Amino acid sequence: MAIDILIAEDEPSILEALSFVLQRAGWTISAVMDGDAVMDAVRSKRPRMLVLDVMMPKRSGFEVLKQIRAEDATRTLPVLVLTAKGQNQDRRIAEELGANSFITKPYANTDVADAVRALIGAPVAPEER
Amino acid sequence: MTLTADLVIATAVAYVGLLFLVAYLGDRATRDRPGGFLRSPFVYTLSISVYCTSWTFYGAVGSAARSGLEFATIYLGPTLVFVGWWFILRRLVRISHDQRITSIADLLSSRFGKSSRLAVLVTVLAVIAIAPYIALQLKAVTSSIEAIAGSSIFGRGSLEGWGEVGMALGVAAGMALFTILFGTRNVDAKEQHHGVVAAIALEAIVKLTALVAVGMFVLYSGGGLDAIFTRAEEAGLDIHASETFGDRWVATLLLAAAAIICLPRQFQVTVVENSDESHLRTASWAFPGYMLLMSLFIIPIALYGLTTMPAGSNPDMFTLTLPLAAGQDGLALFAFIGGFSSATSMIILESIALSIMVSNHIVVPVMLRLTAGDGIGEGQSVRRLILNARRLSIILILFLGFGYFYLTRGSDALAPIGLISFTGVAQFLPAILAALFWRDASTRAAIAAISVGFLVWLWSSFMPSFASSSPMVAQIMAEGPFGIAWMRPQALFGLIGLEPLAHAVFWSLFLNTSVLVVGSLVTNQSALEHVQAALFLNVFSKSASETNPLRGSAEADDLFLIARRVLGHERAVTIFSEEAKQARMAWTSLEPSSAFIHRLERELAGSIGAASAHVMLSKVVTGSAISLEEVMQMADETQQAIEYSQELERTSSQLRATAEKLEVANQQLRRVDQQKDEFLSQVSHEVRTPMTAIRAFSEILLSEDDLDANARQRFMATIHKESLRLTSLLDEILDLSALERGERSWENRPVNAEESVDQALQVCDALARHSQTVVQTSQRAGRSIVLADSDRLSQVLINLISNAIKYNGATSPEIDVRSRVDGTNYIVEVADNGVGIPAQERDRIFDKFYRGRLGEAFAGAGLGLPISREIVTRMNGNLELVSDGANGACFRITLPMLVQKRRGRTSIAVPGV
Amino acid sequence: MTRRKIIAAALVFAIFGVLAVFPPLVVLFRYDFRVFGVPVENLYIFALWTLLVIGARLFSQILPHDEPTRVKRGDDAP
Repeated sequence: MAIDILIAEDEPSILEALSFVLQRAGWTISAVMDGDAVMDAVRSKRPRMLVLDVMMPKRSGFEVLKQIRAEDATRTLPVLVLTAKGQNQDRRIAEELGANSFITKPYANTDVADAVRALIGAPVAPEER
Repeated sequence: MTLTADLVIATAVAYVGLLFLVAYLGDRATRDRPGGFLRSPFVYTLSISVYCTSWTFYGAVGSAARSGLEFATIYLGPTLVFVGWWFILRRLVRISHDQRITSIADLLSSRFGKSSRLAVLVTVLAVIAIAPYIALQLKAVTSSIEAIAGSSIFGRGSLEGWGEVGMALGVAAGMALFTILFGTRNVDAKEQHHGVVAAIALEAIVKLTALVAVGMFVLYSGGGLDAIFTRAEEAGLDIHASETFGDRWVATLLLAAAAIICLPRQFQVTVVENSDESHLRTASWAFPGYMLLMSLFIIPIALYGLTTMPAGSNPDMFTLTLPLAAGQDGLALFAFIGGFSSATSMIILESIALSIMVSNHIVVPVMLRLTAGDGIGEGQSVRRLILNARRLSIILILFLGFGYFYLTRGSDALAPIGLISFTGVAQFLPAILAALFWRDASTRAAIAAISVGFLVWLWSSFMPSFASSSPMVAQIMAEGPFGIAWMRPQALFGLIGLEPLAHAVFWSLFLNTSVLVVGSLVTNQSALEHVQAALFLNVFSKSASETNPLRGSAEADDLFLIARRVLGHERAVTIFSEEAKQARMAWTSLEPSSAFIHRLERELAGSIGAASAHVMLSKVVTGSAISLEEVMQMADETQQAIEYSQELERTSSQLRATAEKLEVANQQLRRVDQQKDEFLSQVSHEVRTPMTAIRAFSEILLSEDDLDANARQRFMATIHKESLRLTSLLDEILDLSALERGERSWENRPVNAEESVDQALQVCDALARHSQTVVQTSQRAGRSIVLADSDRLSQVLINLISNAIKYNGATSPEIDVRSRVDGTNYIVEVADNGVGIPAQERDRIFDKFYRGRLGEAFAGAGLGLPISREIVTRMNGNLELVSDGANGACFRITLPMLVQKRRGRTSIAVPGV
Repeated sequence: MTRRKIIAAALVFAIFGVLAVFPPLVVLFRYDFRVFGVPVENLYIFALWTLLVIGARLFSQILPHDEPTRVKRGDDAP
C-alpha cells in the first residue's frame, strides 16, 4: 500500500511534530531517522513525495537527494528539503541537486503543509476519517 | 769541408725537419701526458726567448758596432718588465686565462666592451706594423746565405743567378710553407700549440749555444776582453758610451719594454701559451738571465769584428763572417743555424699569432655575416674555414714582409727596421695599461688613441723607411707634404733636435696617450665596457673569492634583485620560491645557503657568462670593493633593462616584503573567517533545531482545539524539554567561548581530586538509575592532591559519566569510574561497555558540535567534550580517549599531582607546564 | 715580512731597476775608465743586469703564491 509522504528526519521531536501536522492535514506518512534508510523506504513504500532533512546521521540529505535524482525509478519524485542551517548556500545546493521545494527551520506548520500540497495536491479524501 | 750555399740550405732544410719532428713529438707528448716536461717553466721561459730573433743574433752585433751599448736597451726593457712581472704580466696572464683571451686584439676588444671594431683595428695595425719585422728576418737569412755564398768562389753553388730579392722571396715562400705546416695543422680552442712551443724552445737553446760559441771563439781569438777593448780603442773606436745615454737610449728602452708586452708573438707565448701561472714566476728571472747570456758577447764580437774584418764588411754579419774568415767552417755553419733558428722561430710564431688574429677577428666574422649563420654550423666546415683563413693570413703576412723588404732593400742595417716595428706595436701599450689599471678608459677613446698613434707612426716612422727607394718620400721628409714644414715626418710640429726614433716614439705615444686620457674623460662607457672594465680590474679579488667558495652574508632581497634583473621576474620568483619552500621559510626571512648561492650563480652564468655572474654575486655576497649599487647598475645595463632609481628599488623591496606579510595575514584571516562561518552555521543549526520543535508544537497547540489532554501534555513537555536544551546550548557556547578567550578564569588550588569524583558520581546517580546503568568504581586512588578547581573538575567528570550513560547502548549498560596514581600523575578514567566510538569518529569527538549520533535526542550541543578538554587543559592536565572502541569507550583525565615539599612550599611535579 | 711588504719591496725593486737604467743615474757611470779592461759603462750595465736577475729570482721565490692551483685554461668551460 503506497503512502503519500515519506519523512526523513533525525530529530525525534521535529519528526513527531511534522507527522502530526501532515497526518492531521489528511496525508498518509511514513518516517525514517537516518540517511541510509531513505532509499530503501522510498523503494519499498513508494511515497508520492519525500520530506528530507539535510543534516542526518550516516548520509546527509544532499547525498540522498543526489541518488534519488540519479535513479530512474525515483527521478521524478517530488522532494521537499528541510534545513536548520538556513544559509543561502544550502538553498543553492538543494536547487542544483533538483529539490522541488526548500524550507528553512524553524518553519510555520502551514508553510510545510502548503508546500506539500503544492507538490502532490490536496490529500485524497479518505473513505473513513 | 767548404761551406756552400747549397750545403747551408740543405742543413737548414734538415734542421727544419728536425724542428718538425720535435713539434710532432711535443704535440703527442702533451696529448698523452698533459703537464709533462713540455709544460715545465723552463720550456715556457725558452719559448718566451723567441723575443731574441735574428735581430739579436745578427743585428745586435751590428747595432753594437754602430752605437755601442745601445743594443742592450732592447733586452733591458723586457728585463725590467719581467722583473716587475707581479704588477703587469701576472695581471695580463690571469685576465687572459679568466676571459679566455686568444690574442692581443682579443684582449683589447674584450676589455673595451667586446668592440669588434677595435679588434679589427688592432689586427690590421699589427699586421702592418709587423711587416718590417718579418722583412728583417728575411733580410737576415738572405744576408747570411749571401755571406756564406760570397765566402768562396764556389759559394753560390746552385744559387748562381739568384739575386738578393729572389733569394728573399724563396726564403719567404719556404718560411710560409714551414709555418703553415707547423702552425695550422689543427685548430685548438685554447690557441695553444705545445708542439710549436717545444720546437721554439729547442731553437732557443740552439741560438743561445751558437751565439755563446761564437762569443767564446772571439774571446779566444781576440786574446780576452782586455785585449779586444784595448785594440778597439787603439783602432780609434769609441769604446766608451759617449753618446749612448741620450734620447735614443730612453726611447729604445721604452720601446723594448712595450714590445715584450705588445708584440703579437710575445703575447702568444707569454700569455696565451701559458699553461700554468706559476711558470711566469720562473720566467721572471730566467728570461732576463737568458737575454743577459745572449748579450754578454755582443760587444766583444762587434769590436773584434770592427778591428779585424776588412773595412766595409757588414757588421750585422760578424757573427757569421768572423768564424768564416778564420776558416772555422763548422762554427760558421753552427752560427748560421743559430741565426736561422732565431729567424724561423720568430716568423713561425709571429705569423701564427697574427693569423689567429686575422682569422678570429676579420675572416670568421665576415664569413659568418656573409653566410648569415647557415652552413657554418657544422664543426668540420668551420674548422676548415678557419684553417684556410689562417693559411691565407700566413701567406699574406709573409708577402707583406717580403714587400717591405723589397721596397726598403736599399738600407742595410737590421736593428732600425726592428725598431720601426717596435714603435708600431708600442701604440697598443697605452690601451693595454689602461685596460689593466684604469676603470674609466672608454672604447671610443681607445680606438681614437690607437688610430692617432698609428697615424703618427705611419707618418714619422714607417714612411721614412721608404725614403731610400722613393724620391717622393724623400721629398716629403725634407720639405714636408706640399711644403708644409711643420708636418715633416721627422720634425713634427717643428720639433727639431730629437733623434728620429725618439721623435717618432715621443709624438706617437704622447698623442696616443693624450687622446686616450682626454677621450675617456669626455666619453661615456657602454654597459658592457663597464662590466668588462670591472672584470679586468678586479681579476684578483675575483680569484680570491673563487678559492674560497662564495661565503658571507647576503640578503635574500639583494640576491633577488640581481636575479630578477638578469633572469627576469618570473624565473627569479620561481628559483626563490623553490628555495623558500625547501627551507620552509618566507622569502624575506630566507638566509641564502652557499649551495643556493652557487645554484644562483650557475643560473646567472647561463645568461651573462660565468665570469660576470661570479663577480656580480661575489660583490653582493662578500661585499668587496664595488658597491652593490654599481653591480646592480651593471646588471641593469647589461640586460638593457629599465633603469630603476635606487629609491624605487628599496621601496619596491619593502613593498614586496609588506605584501608578503599582508598575504600571510590575509590567509590567516580567511581561515579564521571560514572557521567562524562554520561555527555560526553550526550554532545556527543547533539553535534552530530545538526552536523548530518548539515552534511546531506551539503552533499545533495554538491551532488544534480538539487535542486530547494526553497529547497536549506530551507536546508541552517536548516544548519544555527543547527550551531547556536551547538554554543549555547557549550556556555551553558562552562557557566555551569564555574559556577559549581565557575570560573565565578560576584559581587552581590544591584540592583532593577524589572528592570531585565522589561529587560527580553522586550527581549522576539519578540519571544512572533512570537508565538502568550500573556505575561501579573498580579502583580508587585515595586522597590525591592536585591543583584544580573542584567544581570544574566535577563538571568534567559529570559530563563524561553522563555521556557514558546516555550513549551506552548496551543491553545491560555498565560504567566503570576508576582512579589511580601513576608516578607523579593522578589518573581518573571513565569507561563503559557500550558500542564505543567508531574509529572514524575518534579524531573528531573533541571538535565543537561534533556528536556521535548514537544516543538519544536528549543531547547537548556537542560542546561537552570540547569544554571538558579546555577545562582539563587549564588545570595543566590532559583529557584523552584511550579505548580502541571494541570494548566501549574509555576517557582518561591525567592531572599532575601536587608534591608537598618539606619546607612546605608547593610546586607542580610536572615541570615546564 | 708580510704579504703587503713583500709586494711593496718587489715594486720598489722593479722601480729601482727602471731608474738605474735610465738617465740620469746611468750617466753617472759614463766616464773613461776601464775595470779589468772593460769600460765601466759596460760593466755597470751588465752588473746591474746580473743584479736584476738575482733579485728577480729572489722575489720569484718569496712573492705570495696565490696562483690558481689547477691549470684553468680549457678546463673550466662554462
